[in-house]
Amino acid sequence: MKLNPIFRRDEIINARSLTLPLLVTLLNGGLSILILINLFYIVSTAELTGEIAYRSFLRIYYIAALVELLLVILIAPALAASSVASERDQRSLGLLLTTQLTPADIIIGKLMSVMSTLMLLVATALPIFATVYIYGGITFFDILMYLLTAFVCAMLSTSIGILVSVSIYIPTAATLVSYAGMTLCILAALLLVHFRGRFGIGGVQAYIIALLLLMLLSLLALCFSMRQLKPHPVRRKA
Amino acid sequence: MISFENVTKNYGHVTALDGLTMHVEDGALYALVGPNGAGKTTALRMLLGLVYPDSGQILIDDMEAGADVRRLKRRIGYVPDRIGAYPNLRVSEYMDFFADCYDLSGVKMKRQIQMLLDLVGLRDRQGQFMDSLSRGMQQKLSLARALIHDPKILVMDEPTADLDPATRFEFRQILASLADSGKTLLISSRTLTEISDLCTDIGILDRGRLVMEGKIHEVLDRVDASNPIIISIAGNLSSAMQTLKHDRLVRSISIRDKNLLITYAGTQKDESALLRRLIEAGVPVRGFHREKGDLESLFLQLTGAHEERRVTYYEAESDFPEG
Repeated sequence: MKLNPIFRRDEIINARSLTLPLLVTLLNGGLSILILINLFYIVSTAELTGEIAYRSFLRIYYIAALVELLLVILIAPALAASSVASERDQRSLGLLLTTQLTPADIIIGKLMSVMSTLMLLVATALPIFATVYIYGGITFFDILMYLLTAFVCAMLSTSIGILVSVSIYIPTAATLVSYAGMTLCILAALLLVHFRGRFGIGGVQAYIIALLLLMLLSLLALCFSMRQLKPHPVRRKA
Repeated sequence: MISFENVTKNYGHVTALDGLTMHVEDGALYALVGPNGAGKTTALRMLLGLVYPDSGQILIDDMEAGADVRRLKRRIGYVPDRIGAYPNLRVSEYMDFFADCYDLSGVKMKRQIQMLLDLVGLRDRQGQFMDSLSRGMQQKLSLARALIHDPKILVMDEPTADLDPATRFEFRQILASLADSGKTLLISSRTLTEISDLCTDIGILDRGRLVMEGKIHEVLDRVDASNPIIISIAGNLSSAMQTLKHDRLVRSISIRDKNLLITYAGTQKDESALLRRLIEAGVPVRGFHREKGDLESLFLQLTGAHEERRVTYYEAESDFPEG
């Protein structure tokens, strides 16, 4: 299978830059400190009361999952915006469009490049979640759902980031609009889950529907991004 | 053949191209010259299918620009005025990346890359990072990159702007060899001096309109015709003056460095007749020629000394095609 050229090039560039190792170190370092503090709290409580608070392990899962999702949501638009902005700054975007690459190839390449960074962040944090899995409290299904949620959130925030940065040329404005768009989408998904009773659907069902809707939104954002990149011919009178 | 037929393009209230009609023959080295904001970049971007005209038509070998995109892209190579130097990417990786963009791979492609790097003199630098190359080297790399898919047409937007004289000379040598190989070269430039002795055709663009177009020798002839005739005479000038005064086509006579300078409104045949009359009148004529045409002055005369328009801003910003 032929690898997307944009993705391949970005992977080479990313592998030589300090951004990715720094991100992985900072994120996992931060999460590890959180876990260690929590474990210290559990051990201290056990020494005092003689009881192991298994609920605290669950708390680790919730905190770590939430922090990581938030980081993914915060990092993705910035990564997407800088990725597109760098092409624009170097005026290489027009050059790419003169090759055999289509706007779809460029957008998908950018998406894959940002997603690979984000999913690497999620994957490297898995050992932290494993500690909770070992002690019990969460199931394999929970981990699976968490990974799925992380993937959908990463996909959505990257797609929105790409769409906004191909439409708005000012990077700061693009990033802010991306965050606003992302917040709106997640709020809508949370509202759907919250008011699931009114639609007569169960918890897991509502969660999956919300994820599917978010996924649909990201696909829409990608389609619009491709359209934005495409030159529009004039409609001639017959 | 490339032809622009009555092409118009507006960016908001600014007219970038105003009914541009221009023709580039196969195998020509066409210089599109004009001041900043004349519409050169817009015209080139339209040819590449990156910008669509508001009206008019651009044809490349009877195919409309932007219509059969994949086939057209195979035929055109593009060298922008500034290369996008990806940091942390080596010269060979940059070439591989663009080969990939054209769906080209294999040993043959590797050989083609080596050949192109050889052509531009960067073979020894293929392991170097792109951002460590000088501006001139980056521009040569851009040229090698544009040739990777062996295009029939090479479109270059001010390729030698801001280059040092030595690199400019090397660049011109490469362009000459490409023109010899039968490729059609369309080069935009702000100045005539860098390409006037290289190009076969020239188009002068001003405020979105082509103010002059033609074969370079025809344009030079036209420029020559407006220049004075220099007559060198051994000895006294008075007998020559007498003959010249009686010629109704002589508009003015002046003396420069012991030579006579005349403004003459006749054809080449009339010039021969005048020379014959001077000799018959016993004037010891040592030299008789028209002063060589200066394209630069013609360019200034045609484009006038008006303020540069602000179209460049839109051109720079239109890296994303408008939607």
